Amino acid sequence: MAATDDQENELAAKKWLETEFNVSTLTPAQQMEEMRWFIQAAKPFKGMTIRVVSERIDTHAYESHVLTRSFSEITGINVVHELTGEDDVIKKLQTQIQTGVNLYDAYINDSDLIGYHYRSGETVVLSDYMLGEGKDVTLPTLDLDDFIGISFTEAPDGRIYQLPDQQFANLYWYRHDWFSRPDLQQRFKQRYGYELGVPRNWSAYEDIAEFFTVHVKEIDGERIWGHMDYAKTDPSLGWRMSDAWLSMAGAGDKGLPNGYPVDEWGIRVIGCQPVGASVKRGGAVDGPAAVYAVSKFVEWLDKYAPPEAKELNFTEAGKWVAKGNIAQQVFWYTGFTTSLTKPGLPVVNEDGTPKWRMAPSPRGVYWEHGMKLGYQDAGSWTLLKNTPSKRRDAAWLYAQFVVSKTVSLKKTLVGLTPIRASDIDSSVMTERAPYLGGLVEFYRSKGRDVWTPTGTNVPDYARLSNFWWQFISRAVEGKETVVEALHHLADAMDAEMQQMAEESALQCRPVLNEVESEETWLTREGAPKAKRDEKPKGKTSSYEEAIRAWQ
Amino acid sequence: MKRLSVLGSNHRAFKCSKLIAMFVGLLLISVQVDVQAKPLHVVTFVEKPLIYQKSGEPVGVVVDVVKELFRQAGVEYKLRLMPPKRALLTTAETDSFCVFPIARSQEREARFQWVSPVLISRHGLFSHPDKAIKLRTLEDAKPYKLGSYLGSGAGEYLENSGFKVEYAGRNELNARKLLKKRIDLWVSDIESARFLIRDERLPIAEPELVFFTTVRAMACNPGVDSAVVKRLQQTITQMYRSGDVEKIYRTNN
Repeated sequence: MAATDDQENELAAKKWLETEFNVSTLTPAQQMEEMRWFIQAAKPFKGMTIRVVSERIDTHAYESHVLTRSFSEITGINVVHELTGEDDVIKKLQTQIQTGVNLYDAYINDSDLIGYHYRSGETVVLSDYMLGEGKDVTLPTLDLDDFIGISFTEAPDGRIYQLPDQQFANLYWYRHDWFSRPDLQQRFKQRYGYELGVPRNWSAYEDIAEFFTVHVKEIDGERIWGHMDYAKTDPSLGWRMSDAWLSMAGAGDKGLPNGYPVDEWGIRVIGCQPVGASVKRGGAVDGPAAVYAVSKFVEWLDKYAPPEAKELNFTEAGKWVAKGNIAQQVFWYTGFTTSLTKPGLPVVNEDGTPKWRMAPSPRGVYWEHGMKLGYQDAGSWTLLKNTPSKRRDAAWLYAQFVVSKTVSLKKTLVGLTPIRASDIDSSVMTERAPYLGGLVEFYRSKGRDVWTPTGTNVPDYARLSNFWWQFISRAVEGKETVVEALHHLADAMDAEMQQMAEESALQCRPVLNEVESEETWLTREGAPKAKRDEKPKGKTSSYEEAIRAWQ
Repeated sequence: MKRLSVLGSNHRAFKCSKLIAMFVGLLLISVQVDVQAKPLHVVTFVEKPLIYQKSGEPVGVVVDVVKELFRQAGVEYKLRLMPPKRALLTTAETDSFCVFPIARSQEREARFQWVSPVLISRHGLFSHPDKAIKLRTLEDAKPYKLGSYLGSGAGEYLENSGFKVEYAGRNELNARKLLKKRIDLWVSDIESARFLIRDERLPIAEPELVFFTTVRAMACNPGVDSAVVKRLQQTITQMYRSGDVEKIYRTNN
């Protein structure tokens, strides 16, 4: 007698549990129960082909190449999971919203867009959907509280708009083996008067960059560099700024997950309404802290980074440190951890442990206690209201499958972009910790709450994010001074927000402040902050002390 | 957002075509500009059935929409055909040039100003009738030799993702290369491929996998007056709102 569809699907599930999802925080029996739920819930959608899109990182490559296949065999729903540039994901999502054309059935879109999702009314409110329209296709064992980044996808209205799929943070990266060498430690101390260690402020980072690039120059006969960055005129140059440079410098106000009333983008709000980006309207995009941030970005790139850095984008630069000739990177995306832990690399020991470590990034002189400590990307499942409901429901099943407890621990081991507390706390991750250079320590600490994505002050990420790379590139290329470029950037953001205000039925739409003198704003408390001494003495910590800051 | 919502609802009602390729709208930018003094050089390339050549001139539904766009915007232009790769390179290197319909991608973003999106395409992989290659995911195509054309965004996407891509001068040449087994899989916009297959009665079946969606746009050299580009964006948006684009599609069936 031929096997029924259910039996075939169960056999497929059994095969995948044994061969692929053989690590999980669930028992095999619980995994099978979860898969049976998917088999039943997927029945109305069998034979459909759904389309989803995400950026191009290791985690999504695993989803696209492996998890689509397992999902299809277990449920009978085919998935085309496209990988593309992050900017392309944003533009495609924007296109579907603007036109109503069903380009994709679901998007893995950074929670950086949360300010737009909740203002626009175009995005499915997941917390409502899961209880209402999507109740029958919502996994009973989804366990939302287990998602460490769920607060990043919650709007000021208290509702959840997106479901985290992968997370990676911007952390300091350095060659622990070089920093541990007594000869280099001695030379550094002799020259700078303090210990070579994890820099706590930008002065120390700068000294270490100079030390390796200018004074050490070569290790084992190879040219080495004290700093790494990227600055190709490309959308990813903008994220370099908006993700972390200004927040690490301390441009915004205190507050978590984002500064209030001025966030790390330098946008001021009153309540939930953006009121200005430029200092003259109370923002901080062109304030002293932002000028300090971008000036150091350009200066360090010119003086201490390899010449190729100016021609690299996000993807190219992320894996560059694996070549083995970089001493440190002020912030590096942990999404590239997988590609830096491969056996045989110059940055990996013979026993598989890394020669590098990750630690908290150094802080600029405008940073104050109570501010976010860095940036964390939270690529999250996003459903649009204009997707046909049947397609949306089927895509929601795939979304939940790739984050389910059956799958998520294996996915975490492959892509190293954890999303679930249960995975992070598992014994499997304890065993892997020595091979991951501090990643597990970071995610087991409070660090995972204070490294945060772009917040809700940004009313329309897609429209405003383009300005960053377009204006910062002028400073990088020497076409304008940093001050000129930032004034133009701030004015462009104000003008765009003004346009949103005029055209918009947006909730919490921008209402720009009247212009006041910059001096007036800079003398008030909080951001934008007046100029400070930007050259304090360098401070460093041992690795152990540095990561204790996360505890 | 009021403007975007209005545009969106217009499009929800806009079901103009069996074609997956669809013209779509833009952000409305309220900038009033003077028409530029010199005519823009606008180049395009043959991509049947959307764009083809008649008496040496470019014609087709995409061309009709672009012509109407320039007419309504009051922007002078000269339109001509070029091979796709040359059209792209000429536009990248020459101040007064624009090219359509080009896949907009992160890699190309900073090199042009964009009137975007103007067309959405889905791309598929077609196999030889005697040697069907079953594909479940795009990764399954990794061992094979893929055929694309010079200037193709989909070809560039695959090459950047580590696939073996061989380029021909024009899309239709790949159909012949596939039938002669010089490539294993033909990469093509599925509507263009279906048209060629029908028109030339080629023994090629449906795509094994529809793997990629591109947003296609008119790309203009950074030296083109940005106010003119904004004016074109504003106009094409208005064309969607007024139903003009839909009308052109309906007329072209």
